[in-house]
Order: sequence, then structure tokens, then C-alpha cells
Amino acid sequence: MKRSKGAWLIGFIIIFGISISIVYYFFFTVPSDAPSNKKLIVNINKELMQHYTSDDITKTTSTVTKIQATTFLEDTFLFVPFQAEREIYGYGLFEWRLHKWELVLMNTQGTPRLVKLDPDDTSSYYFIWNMHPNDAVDAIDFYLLQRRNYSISGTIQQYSPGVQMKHHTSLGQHAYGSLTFPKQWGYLLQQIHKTNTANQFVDIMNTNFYANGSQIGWITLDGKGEPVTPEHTFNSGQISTHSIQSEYMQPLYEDDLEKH
Amino acid sequence: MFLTVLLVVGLFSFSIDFYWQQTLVRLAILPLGVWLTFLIYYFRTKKDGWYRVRPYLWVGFFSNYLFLLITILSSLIFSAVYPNSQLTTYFTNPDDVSLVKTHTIAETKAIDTPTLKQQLTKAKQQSIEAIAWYEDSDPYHNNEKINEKFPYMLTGVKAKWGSGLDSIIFIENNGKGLLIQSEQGQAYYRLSESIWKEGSYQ
Repeated sequence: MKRSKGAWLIGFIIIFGISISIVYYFFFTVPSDAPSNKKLIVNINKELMQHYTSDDITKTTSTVTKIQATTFLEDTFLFVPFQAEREIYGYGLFEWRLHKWELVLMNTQGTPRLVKLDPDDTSSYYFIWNMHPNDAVDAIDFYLLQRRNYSISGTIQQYSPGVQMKHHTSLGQHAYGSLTFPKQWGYLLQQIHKTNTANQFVDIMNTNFYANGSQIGWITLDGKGEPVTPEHTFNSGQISTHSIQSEYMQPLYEDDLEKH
Repeated sequence: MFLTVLLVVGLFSFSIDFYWQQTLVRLAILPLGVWLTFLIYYFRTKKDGWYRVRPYLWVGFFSNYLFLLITILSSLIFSAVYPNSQLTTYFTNPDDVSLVKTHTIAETKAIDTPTLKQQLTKAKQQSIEAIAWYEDSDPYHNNEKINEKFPYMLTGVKAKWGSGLDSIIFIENNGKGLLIQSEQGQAYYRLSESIWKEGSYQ
């Protein structure tokens, strides 16, 4: 009897140990390295092919030929700008899920996008882009806009100041890149999210936010700091998929901004 | 067990909901639970049970008014401890905040912390002039000139301890007014002195 009790105990400890290791392996390990470029290309192409067959537009088929870089965003996300046939510059975003790198966002048009790794936390927001090199984009100005507004109901008056915040980033030698969301913007968005009981502002932390001129947008600048339209980037066909929250951002023009 | 059921059924009522000073108030009017139980007993053969359950049902119904009283009292206590008329309800830490431009047309300014500290307790709440401010700020009403009245905000603001109030504090371009948006709505405070540091800024 005694012996079998001991056996039960040992069996229990072993099973317990194994389950702990399995849970740890799938949920708590952090990747040490990015996967090989070959693996990334295979993954992105698999995703691309699904779209080509479903839309049956084989004429425009393009496959990824080159991974331009792999950049970690936090511990478990990987930003992967790529180059594909027919002069396409795009990007993918991989997430470390269940001990595997999974493609969670892809865009064959490298226009800037806002990705929300954790939608509730603005410090996990990133801008990502991959402009066509021929567009000679030197810098990007990002803008956070909230339309000026007022409301009167009974004796209660409210005024919402116009918000137009700018964040300038130089691209340096690469036409692709990622940028952490400006802290001060994050502060404003969080506070709007918490205090916006009468919808004075557009709550950008919730989706479908670009309404009424309240949005996040961008302007690309050339070497002289003049606005330039990224024609080549716009001209590449757009195939875009995502399984995490991300927002399309409008290109802005002079008329969209308030100036002296 | 049966008593609890009677009390809960008694609570059931037709009521009117309305806002009293930003608090949701529920005023019970028709005692539906009492009537329902009466009907049930009316159609039963043994009717005398009704007189035994009736007092519990009414206690249930009148608890609605007890809850109403508690709601109003707690709202009164909250506004006594955290008065809307005082800026210090929303803003207690002038040493820790930083000034941020919320509009690109704003001039670069710096806060004179001693003045801000001293003005904090003296600030006077005044009415929001929504239309006038909008027209002064917006280019369509202002000969195409942009003159946003509140082009700055403060970050890192802490409200009075225990209030749990979150807010956005916008600063007027003359440094003499604070527009605060919180869950309670908006409030505007005027200062007698500008909080801008004089002289040059980096």
C-alpha cells in the first residue's frame, strides 16, 4: 500500500511538471531571434497566394523576393518590410503566438499605417511604413487632428478646442521604418477615451475613428522639406490583411491643415 | 427564502429615470410587483395568504425610495468633498505637470510654477461661452485667421485624492484660463494672473 501511494505521488508530480512546462513553452517563452528570411518569405507568399487565387487576378501576381529588414516591436512582434516583384514595396507584421511566428498583418502598399498591438494601451501603438525608393521621401510629418466643435443643450455649454499636433520623423537612409506613437498624443487619446461622456472628441482608441476631420494622417516630405506625393507607392496594387487592430491613415494635403 | 423573493418582487416597479446634477436618479411610481402578486392571489381559491405577504411586498417597493435617498445623499457628499467650483478638485499637483502644445499655431511658452501654485486656489469658475470661443477660434468666422483659444494642454495632472476623476486640462492662449473636461462634463476657470513665464523661452 505504502509503495503504491508513493508511486501515485511521483506520477502526479511528473504530470504536474509536464503540464507546467507545456504551458510555459507555449505561452511564456519569448523569442530570442527573428526567423530566417527564407521562412518569412514563404509565410508572406502563402498569404499573398490565397488572395490571388480567390480574386483570380493571376496577371498581377507578385511574389516577395527580398526581406529588407526585421525589426522587433516589443518582445513578441516583428516588423518586416519586404520587396516583391513588379516594384512592390510592402510590409508584414509577425506575432509570436503559441511558440510560432504568425503573420498578423500584411500590406503590399507601403503607405503608413497605425498598428495597435494592445488597443487599450497607447504606448503599444506604432506607425509602420515602406515607401517606394523612387519617391525620394526624406521625412514624414504625422498629424493628430480633432475638429473644433461646440455644443449647447439647455444651460450646459461645451467647447472642444481644435487639436492639430505634429510629429516629424526623418527617414534617414531607409525608405521603410517604424515609430513608437508619440507619448503626448497617447496621453491625450487616453484622457479623451476616459472623459468623453458627451462625445466632444473622436475617441481614436476605438476603431473607425476617421470621421468629421478628426483623424491621424500624414504628409511625406522631400529633401527640401516640401510636401511630395508618393506616386510610386500609391501606384502599387494594394492587398492588405490584418488580424490585429490597425488603422488606415489618410494622406493629408495643405488644405487639411490650419495655418496662420 | 420566501421572504427574500417577496422583497425582490416588491421592488419591481414602473419608474422614471432622470439626471439630477449628472447623477442618474430612479423615481419609482407604480408598484407593479405588488399588483402582480395581488392578481396571482386573486385568482387562487385560497385568498387569505395575500394579507400575510402584502407587508413584505410594500417594504420591497418602498426600498426603491430608500435607494433613491442613498443615491442623492452620496451625490451630495461627493460634491461637498469634491466641489466642482474649485479647481483643486481636478488639479492638485502643479509641480509635476508639463505643458504641451495641442495646436501647431501655438507659440512656445513655459509655465511659471510659483504663479500657477498661487493661482490654483484662487481660480474662479466662470461660464463657458461656447459660441463666442468657437467663432473667435475658427478661420471661417475669423477672416481665415486661426486663433485657437485653447492651444495647450497639461499632461501628468492628478485630481484630488480619492475622487477618481480623470480630466483633460486645456490652457487658454493668454495663460489666464483653464478649460477642464472630465466625466462630469466641462468646467472653465479664470485666473487673475497669467501663468506664462515672462521673457525668453527655449
